[in-house]
Amino acid sequence: MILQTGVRIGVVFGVLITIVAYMTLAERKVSAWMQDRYGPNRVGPRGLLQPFADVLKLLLKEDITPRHVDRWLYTLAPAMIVIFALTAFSVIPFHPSFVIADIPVAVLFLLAAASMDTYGLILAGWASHSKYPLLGGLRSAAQVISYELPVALSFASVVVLTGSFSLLDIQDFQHRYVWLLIPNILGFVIHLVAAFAETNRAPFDLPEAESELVGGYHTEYASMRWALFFLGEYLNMAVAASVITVLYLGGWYGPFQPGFWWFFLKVAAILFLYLWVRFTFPRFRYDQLMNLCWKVLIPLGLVNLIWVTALRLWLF
Amino acid sequence: MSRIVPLFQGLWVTFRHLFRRRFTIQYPEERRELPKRARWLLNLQRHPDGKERCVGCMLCAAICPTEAIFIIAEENDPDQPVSHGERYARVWDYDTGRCIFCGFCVEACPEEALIMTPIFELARDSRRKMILHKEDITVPPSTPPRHTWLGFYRELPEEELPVMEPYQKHLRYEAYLRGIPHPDHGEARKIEFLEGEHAQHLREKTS
Repeated sequence: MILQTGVRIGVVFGVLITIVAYMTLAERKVSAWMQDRYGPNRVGPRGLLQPFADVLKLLLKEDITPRHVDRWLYTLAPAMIVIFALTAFSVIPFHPSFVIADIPVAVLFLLAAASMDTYGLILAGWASHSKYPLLGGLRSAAQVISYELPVALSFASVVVLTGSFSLLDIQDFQHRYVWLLIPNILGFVIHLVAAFAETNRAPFDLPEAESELVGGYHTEYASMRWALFFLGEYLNMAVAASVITVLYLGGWYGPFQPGFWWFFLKVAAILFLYLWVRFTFPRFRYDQLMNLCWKVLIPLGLVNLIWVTALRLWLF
Repeated sequence: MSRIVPLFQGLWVTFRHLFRRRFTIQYPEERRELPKRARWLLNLQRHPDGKERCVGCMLCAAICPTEAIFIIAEENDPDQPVSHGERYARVWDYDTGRCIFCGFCVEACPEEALIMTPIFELARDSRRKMILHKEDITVPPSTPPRHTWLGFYRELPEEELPVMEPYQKHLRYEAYLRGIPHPDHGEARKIEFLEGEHAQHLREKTS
């Protein structure tokens, strides 16, 4: 049993690292295509080995720790981001026969892991002892506290509809009736928008905001530690995409031949959406970000909660 | 609604661009056509009979604002003359790392021995390799001669012709770069970039 779980963790970890590596390439490629460029195409056939060259470069770079930082927290922060992003993956059901941990309150666990992740950003900003990282960290704190609420509301709408906190039960529900995207479209949209903010992706990448804050929370980081931030960011994107897939898009179920590949297809589509949106929309201003959250998404989330409650009472 | 529709319009624009033709020119494989008057690497021409045009007058070296040209001239052997004049250039070194491709040398040359070619890929991995010698830049014997007129300064009155000014300052910088002791500096840097006749010449000039 333990051995089986260990093997599963190994497989998931390996697949995730590969996905993250190729997400960096995809990001550069998609951005290039959208700007009528080619993107990296020199390392390997069509640039497919570029991620390995990047990793090699990052590993060989000098690891600089500035003298003024809080050394302990400075080292801990990037590790935290990666650890909690990976933790969230432990409850994602990729397939009924492939779940690392099927816990009955998986939805709550996901919320907890996503919130813990922000501590990494805040600590990085705080421990760097420098103004731009601190500003980035503070922004991230405010942003995540705000956007936890719409995410929680849309989680709640799913839970109300399916009557269970277990992701496997939610899958079964979607198999029996219909993808939750259909009855819960509002929840889906809210969750999608909030997920962009939760993962610090454009157009809500205010904690990073290279045009305003140099590098935001990771300004003072170099080499592999800096790469851990990136790993964490992409892992978080993968987590968010998986969660949306599981909650609204029916996970591994598809019109025909249910299986792993449906899951990965849906995750890939959402990840592409991330890139697409990033290279389409400009960054939100800070007050616009807060306005969107408190004056639009949360009221909509509450309305949606009433709607799904009604659905639950009279339809399902 | 008026706020939501533009979002999708924007997404549609970027999506269409995914499949557009790329503007990038894949440089080493694809090349742009050079302009007709592209002028880069210097070449030394020959007479139709194969003799060198350069007579070692050093006018090019004198006008060169960056001292990229270094010449040692020598008397021609009457039995086997290298050029048609009395003298020829035994050494004609050309530092592509210094050359700014201004074309003054071509203007100055009384024998029309110098031309500028459209060869522009001159990057090398060391300063030493950037210095080309006479053999490297002289055209092969049967190459037809080309006219060299550039037409920049011919119409200017004589007193307005560009004059090379910062000669001494220039030499000091040169000495600093090449690690040659110079009276103004005292101890020079240890790195020796250049050896041979060019360096020897600079040492004599600066000491």
